[in-house]
Amino acid sequence: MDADTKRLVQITVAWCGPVFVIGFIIFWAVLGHNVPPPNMMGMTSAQLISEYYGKYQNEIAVGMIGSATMGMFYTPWSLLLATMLRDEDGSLGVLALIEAAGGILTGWLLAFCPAIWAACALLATSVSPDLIKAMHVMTWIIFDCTYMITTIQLLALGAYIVLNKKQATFPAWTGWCAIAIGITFVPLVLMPFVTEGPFAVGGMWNFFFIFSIWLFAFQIPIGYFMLREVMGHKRVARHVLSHAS
Amino acid sequence: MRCRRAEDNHPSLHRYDGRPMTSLQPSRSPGTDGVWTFVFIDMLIFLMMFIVFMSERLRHVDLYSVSQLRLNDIFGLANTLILLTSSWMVVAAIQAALAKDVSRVRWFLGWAWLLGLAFSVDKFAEYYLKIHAGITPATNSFFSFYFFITIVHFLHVIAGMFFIGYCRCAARLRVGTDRYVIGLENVGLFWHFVDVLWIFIFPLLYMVGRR
Amino acid sequence: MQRQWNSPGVVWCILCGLTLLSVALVEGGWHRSVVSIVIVLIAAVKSRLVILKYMEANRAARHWRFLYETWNFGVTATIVIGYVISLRAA
Repeated sequence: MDADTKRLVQITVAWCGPVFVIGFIIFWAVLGHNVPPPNMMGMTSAQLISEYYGKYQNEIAVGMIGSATMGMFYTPWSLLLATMLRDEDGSLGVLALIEAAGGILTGWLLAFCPAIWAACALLATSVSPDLIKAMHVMTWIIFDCTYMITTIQLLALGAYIVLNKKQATFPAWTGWCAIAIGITFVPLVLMPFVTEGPFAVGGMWNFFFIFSIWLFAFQIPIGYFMLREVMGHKRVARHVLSHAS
Repeated sequence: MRCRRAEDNHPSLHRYDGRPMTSLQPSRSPGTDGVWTFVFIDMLIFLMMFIVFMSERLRHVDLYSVSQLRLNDIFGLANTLILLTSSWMVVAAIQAALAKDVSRVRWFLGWAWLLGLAFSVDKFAEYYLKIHAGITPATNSFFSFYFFITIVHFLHVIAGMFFIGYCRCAARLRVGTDRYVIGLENVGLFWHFVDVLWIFIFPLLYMVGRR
Repeated sequence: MQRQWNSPGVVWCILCGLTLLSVALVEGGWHRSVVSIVIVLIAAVKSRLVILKYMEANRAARHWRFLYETWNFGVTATIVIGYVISLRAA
């Protein structure tokens, strides 16, 4: 592959990040009626069907199938990021590999869980509400309580940026931010045990704060510096401005 | 008569017993930019916690007021005084490091660490009494926050104790080097940040609105 | 004289004194809403003392002092405003 083609591939993969963010918001959050998600631990099975799956069945089904597609855009973006975390000898060190592993597993989760929720929507009126609720709750616990796969991705990225003084792609503050954001996911451990408040599945901390900072405070700055790296500093401003107009 | 030097009038260049420091670095900021950045970002995370707490409190004022009465402010007061004293010890250790006084560095860091241990014991005692009384993070929204905020803060205390312990162990070999002083200043920055957090956590959880 | 006031021991005395004052105000049975706001303001003063005298933000780069003092103001405002709104909502 010649250098120009390689650069084109990298730019395309770098844009997978913004595509993931926008696509996931449209499909999972809006169409999926997940702003906020229903308070499953405080609802009966019948309420979950009547107030959520039964009420928005078609939208949720379409939204979740779309999310299963959009979710996997996270993986190539994370792998491109890993290629930017090389050691001085050019090899991918352990931090780059941990970041890559976290990105692959997170991407899988972002596709796998919506697929199950899509099944819940499609089967909502034909199987027992208790079964739907069991699938719904189980999937949310998988989605939230495996937060460590994203936390280790962020911690590895942050550690690389902070400890590697010679790298010039990412400023030090992005590394500290990545570490801090990774740690803020820890209260997700409370999600299965509370029925209300900020640490419930749709709570202000465990839903609004965590998803907001992960999507916006992590993806946007890291994505910007990734694009700047693959496109070159002067070109990215022209590119962004031309798309804005 | 000794001629007055410019640094005679600079308060931060003197030991706090009035004797001039032996290392004169009038233009150097304490610590390193990286740690100032990290601490500031951590402060922002806690600010978000406080915002979310106050927002939830608005929705359940009575619940929060009643639940707050089940906290014993003696624990909070003790922890505040412990952390304030520990911060003082760290400042004194930094002054001793600038004066290249190994034994005083170890003395003050030892006390700082022991006070951190006292905080930990106090915290464990408080958690034990709460859980023994049937209060857990799942009890209600207030106690979810109480455990969340104080446990996250407590983890910072433990990390700080680790750093202080490391600096104390390294003091014998490294006191006298600029690198040690900067490292100790960074540890001090982190420890004072832990203290500042508790300065707000104590009134926020234990005292504001208390009946 | 200024050196003595800047002494970490003196700062510690002030911090502990303010802490005990806060607890005394709460236990003293005065008007709850006024006391609650006063103790948060006392906390802001204590925090500022630690930031300037212990962290030595007054010797750090100017943007750090600005950011840390702004954070101090932000936390204080969050608690005071949140508390005042809760009084009106109750």
